[in-house]
Amino acid sequence: MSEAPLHELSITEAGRKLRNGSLTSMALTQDALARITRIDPAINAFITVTKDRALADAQAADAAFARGEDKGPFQGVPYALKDIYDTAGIRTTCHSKLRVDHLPAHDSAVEEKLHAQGGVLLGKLATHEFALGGPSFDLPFPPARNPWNTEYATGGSSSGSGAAVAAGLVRMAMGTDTGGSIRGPAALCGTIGIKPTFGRVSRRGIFPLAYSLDHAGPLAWSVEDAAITLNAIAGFDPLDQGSAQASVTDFGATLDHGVKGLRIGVPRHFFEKAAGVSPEVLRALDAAAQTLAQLGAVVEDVRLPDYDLFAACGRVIMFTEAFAIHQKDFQERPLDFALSTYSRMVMGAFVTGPDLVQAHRLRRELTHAVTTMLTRYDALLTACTLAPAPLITAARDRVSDSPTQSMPFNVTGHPALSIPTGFSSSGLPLSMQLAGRHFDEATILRIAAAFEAQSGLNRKRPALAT
Amino acid sequence: MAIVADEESLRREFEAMAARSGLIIPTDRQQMMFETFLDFRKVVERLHGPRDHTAETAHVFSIDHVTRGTEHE
Repeated sequence: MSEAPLHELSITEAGRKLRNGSLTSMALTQDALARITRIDPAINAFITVTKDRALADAQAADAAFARGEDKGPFQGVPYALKDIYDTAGIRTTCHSKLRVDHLPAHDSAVEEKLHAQGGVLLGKLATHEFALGGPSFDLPFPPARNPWNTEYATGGSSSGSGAAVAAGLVRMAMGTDTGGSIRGPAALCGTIGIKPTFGRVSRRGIFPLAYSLDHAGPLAWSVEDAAITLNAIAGFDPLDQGSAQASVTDFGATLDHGVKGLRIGVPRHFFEKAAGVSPEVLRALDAAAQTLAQLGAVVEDVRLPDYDLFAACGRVIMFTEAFAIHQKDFQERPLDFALSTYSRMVMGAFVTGPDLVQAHRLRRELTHAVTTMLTRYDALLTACTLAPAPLITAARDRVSDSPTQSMPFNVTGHPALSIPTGFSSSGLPLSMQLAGRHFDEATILRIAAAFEAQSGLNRKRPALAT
Repeated sequence: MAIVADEESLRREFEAMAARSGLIIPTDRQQMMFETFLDFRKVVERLHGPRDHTAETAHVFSIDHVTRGTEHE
């Protein structure tokens, strides 16, 4: 049997080879850098490739292996960061003209952890400007393109993270998620993307979009790689005001436990008649639910508050907090923002004090409703994106519409992930979303692992990745 | 009874709120931003359900949270 190409190795498979001496981190890193040189010009996933840093990290990892040191699964494994994660001495642009030369003095908490565990930083990835807006052509860097068809968008805002993982440039890339910015690009690019519970992963050193909705989490090619990453980055950080003092368990410990007996609720009313929902998405969701039932889960329709309430609550809080962060620049440098960023974020100026208080009162009600439902169910299964990826040049939707139904779990803080369910007739990925109880990422990863093993969908890569 | 605002009063509201936030919206963006404002206004209206005084907000001031990290500074 022929050996799998290096970019196809999972973190566990690569780690096994690194530890038995049949592979060096230097070889793994040079292969990744060569793939970036060859493939990235078509997809624009990277803003900055940190070649020298990557080679130094790889050399350090190989030296550590030679000394018998083992700092964990990331030792010697390449990764990349959305370009809103601070990296000391490496520019962190937020994909914006306003921060194009910004050199942070310190690493973000996530980068501190991955670096300390021997990871290899390949570079910084494209995002929608300041993690909002859409694919824009009026910024210093081009928008990332979907590896399955480069005429199509990746989703966002962790656009480069989705593109880089799907194209096999990196096994894992960090994203952030304020209204769906991990799960959206994961869905449209056909990767795994998990937004952990609010407070599970430190956001220190990540440029904020909206303080009370921001989450950090990984996009990865497999459920196992996502779980390994969470193990590496989760934990309390007293310097992140939103960080939770919750115990951290092994997120991968139950990946092979199957779904027999688990109860999964489906809030079908969220998506079934939503504007713009694709019949292909609906069929794939039904098929996925059926697969989980055949694997032994109890799958039942459930009723939550209307989806529009979650969306309204989240958008009002997000735009208001974001506007407060950027108000001075909107006053003094409005034309330095992309039009799509400007037109959305400025809506925060039109929220009154009572509007924001009502949003936070509604937020408590919605969180209570989902938490209560999750006393009867182990997880919820719903749509992530309502349709396959749009053309990258497609006109942006109105602020009252969204092609992604991920906001509910930013509002409520529950963990949620996106996993592929198949492909559209045009060959673009389809997906579903699984959400679980607060601090129970392990259960949704377990369900996703069972589905992934059954579907085998992560054995297919975009043509340009081969 | 709900007050139905006409376009002229909505435009005045839009201009007043923009000015109050110190925004000078570029001329070629004003119509687009006004239309976005009208769309967003519908989103905001969804928040105003009936609630009494017991419905506390989700971002209640917590002394533990606002003092966290100070010993590290």
